Amino acid sequence: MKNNVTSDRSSSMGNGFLRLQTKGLFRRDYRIEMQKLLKRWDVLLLLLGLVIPLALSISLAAHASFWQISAAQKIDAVHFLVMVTRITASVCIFHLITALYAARFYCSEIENNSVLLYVPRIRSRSVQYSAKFSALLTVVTAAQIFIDLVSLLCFYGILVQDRPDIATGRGCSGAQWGTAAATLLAYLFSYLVVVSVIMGFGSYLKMVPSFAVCAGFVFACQLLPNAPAESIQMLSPWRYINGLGNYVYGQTDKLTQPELLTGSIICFVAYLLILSAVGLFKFKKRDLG
Amino acid sequence: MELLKVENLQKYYPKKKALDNVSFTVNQGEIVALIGRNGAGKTTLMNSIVSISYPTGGAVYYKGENLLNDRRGLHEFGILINATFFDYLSVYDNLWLLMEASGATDKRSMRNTIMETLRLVGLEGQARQKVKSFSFGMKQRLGLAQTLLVPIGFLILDEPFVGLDPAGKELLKSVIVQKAQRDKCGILFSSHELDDVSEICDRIVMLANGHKVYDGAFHEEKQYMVELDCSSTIICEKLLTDFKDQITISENKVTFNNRNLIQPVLQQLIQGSATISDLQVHENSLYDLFKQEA
Repeated sequence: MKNNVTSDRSSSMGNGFLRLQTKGLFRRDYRIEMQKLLKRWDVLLLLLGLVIPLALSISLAAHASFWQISAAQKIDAVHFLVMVTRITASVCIFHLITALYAARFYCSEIENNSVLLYVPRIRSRSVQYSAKFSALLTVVTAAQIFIDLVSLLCFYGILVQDRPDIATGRGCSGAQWGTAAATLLAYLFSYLVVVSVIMGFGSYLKMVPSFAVCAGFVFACQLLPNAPAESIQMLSPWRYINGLGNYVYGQTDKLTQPELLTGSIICFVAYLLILSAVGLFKFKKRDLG
Repeated sequence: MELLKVENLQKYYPKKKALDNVSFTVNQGEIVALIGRNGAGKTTLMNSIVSISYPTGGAVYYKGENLLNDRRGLHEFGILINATFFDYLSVYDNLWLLMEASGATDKRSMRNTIMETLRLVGLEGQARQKVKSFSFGMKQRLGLAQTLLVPIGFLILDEPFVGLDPAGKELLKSVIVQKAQRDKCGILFSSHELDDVSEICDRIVMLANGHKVYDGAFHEEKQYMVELDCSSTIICEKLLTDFKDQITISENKVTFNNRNLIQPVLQQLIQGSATISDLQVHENSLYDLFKQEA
C-alpha cells in the first residue's frame, strides 16, 4: 500500500496564508525555546569565556612575567579584544563547552523524549527545528557579545588604570575597529558552526556521540590552517580568525581583509546550510519516541 | 458521532510489522481501551495517531480530516504518552510553556488554568518545585495535568495508571469518565491494569503482534456453578425443570448466570434431597478474554 503520509512541509507551507501562519508559529516556538535555554543552569557555562579577558587583564595589571609586552608596543582596546579572541580560539575548550551546551539541549531532548511534548502541538517539525536552532544561535551570540563587552570593560577598567605603560585608552581608528569587528565576527562564526555541527549530527546520533563528532571537527579545524593546500585551509573557520587577527597586529596575510571576511562568511553560510539541511531532514523524517 | 477513525494503519520496520492494517473507530463520548501484551503495538499505534512516529501506510481521520496530512486537529488532543517533562523547569514553567505552545496568550487566564489543573491533580502545593525532584507517581499526575491543560476533544493516554497510588487511580478514572460523559471527549487509552480497564471502558480494542484481534464491548459476567454428587445428577434435571431455559446441566454441574436463581435453584435441589458437593462463583473477566485472544 502506498504511503499516504505527507511531510509536515506540505501542511504548513502550502500557500501564502499558511506561510504567514508558520511565521507566527516560529515566533511563538522561538520564544518558548529561548525561555527553555535561559532557564538551564548550563547556560552559565557559556560565560566561562570570561576567564580569558579577566585572567589576561588581571595578570597584566599584576605585572605577570609570562606576557611579553613592552612599552614600545602599547596595546589599545582593539588589540586587547583581538588578543583575547585569538587566545580563546587557540584554546578550543570554549568551543567544546558550547558544543556540550548545544548537545545537552538538543540531543538530550530527543533522547529523553521531552521533545515529544511539543511535537503534536507545534505541528510543523521544520518550525520546531528552526526555532531550536535559532534560539541556540541567539544565546551563543549573546554570550559572545557579553564576553566582548566585559573584555572592553576589563581593558578600560583594569589595564588602562593600572598599566598605563603598556595600555592606552586612546581612541582607535575606524579602520582598526572594522578589522577588529571582522575578526570578532569570524570568531563568532566559529561558535555558530559548532552549534550547526551539533544540530546536524544531533538528529542522527545521541548526545555523547554527537559531542564526540563535534570535538573531532573542532580539533580538525584547529589543524586545518596548517594544511599544505590553501583550499583545505579555507575549510576551517580558524583560518579566517588568524588571518584577520594578523592584520590587526600590522602583519599581512596571503588573502586581503575583504577576502578573508568574505571567505569567513561563505564558510559559515556553507556549514550552516549543509548541516541545517542534514539535521532538519532527519528531524522531520525520524520517528520520535 | 464518529470522532477518530483509524484506517488500515501500518507501521513496518525492516524486520518487523509493528502494526498491520489496524482499523477501528472511537466515537464522541466513548472510552476505548487498547490492550495487548508487551510489544503488541499499542504505543506504536498511539505514536502514529499523533504523528510522533510516521506510519508506513493507512490513515487517521479526526472529525473527517486526515491527521497525517493536516495536523491541525491535533490541537484538540490531550496526549499522555511516556509522560515527559523538562526536568530543569518547575512544574508551573512546564505547564506554562505547554500552554504557550498550544497557542494560549492571555497570561491571567493561563495562570488560573494552570493552578486549577494542578489543584485537580493534587499538585497545587508543588507548583514551584522542579520536576526532577518528583517521584514517578507525581510525574504521572503532572502528565495528566498536561493533558487536561487545554480544552480537548480527544484524550489519548498510554499506560496512564502506571505508578499511581490508589487515590491517583481513582482520580484518573473519574477524570476519564467525566471527560467522556460531560465533555463528550473521545478517549483512547492503553493499559495492562485490566480491572481498571473493565471498570471504565465502553469498548475494547485488543492487539496481538500488530494485528487487531478483538474489537467490541465487554461486560463482566458472573457464572454460578453448583456441583452435585454423581448420583444426584439424573434427578436434578427433573427437579430443575422450571428453570431449564435459564440453567445448563452438564455431567454433575448446574451452571447459570442469573444471580436471582441462586436461592430457588438451591432450595429446589435441597428439597429434592440432591447432595450438593460444591458451590462456585466464576467471573468471566477481561483476563479470560486477554488470555484467549492476546
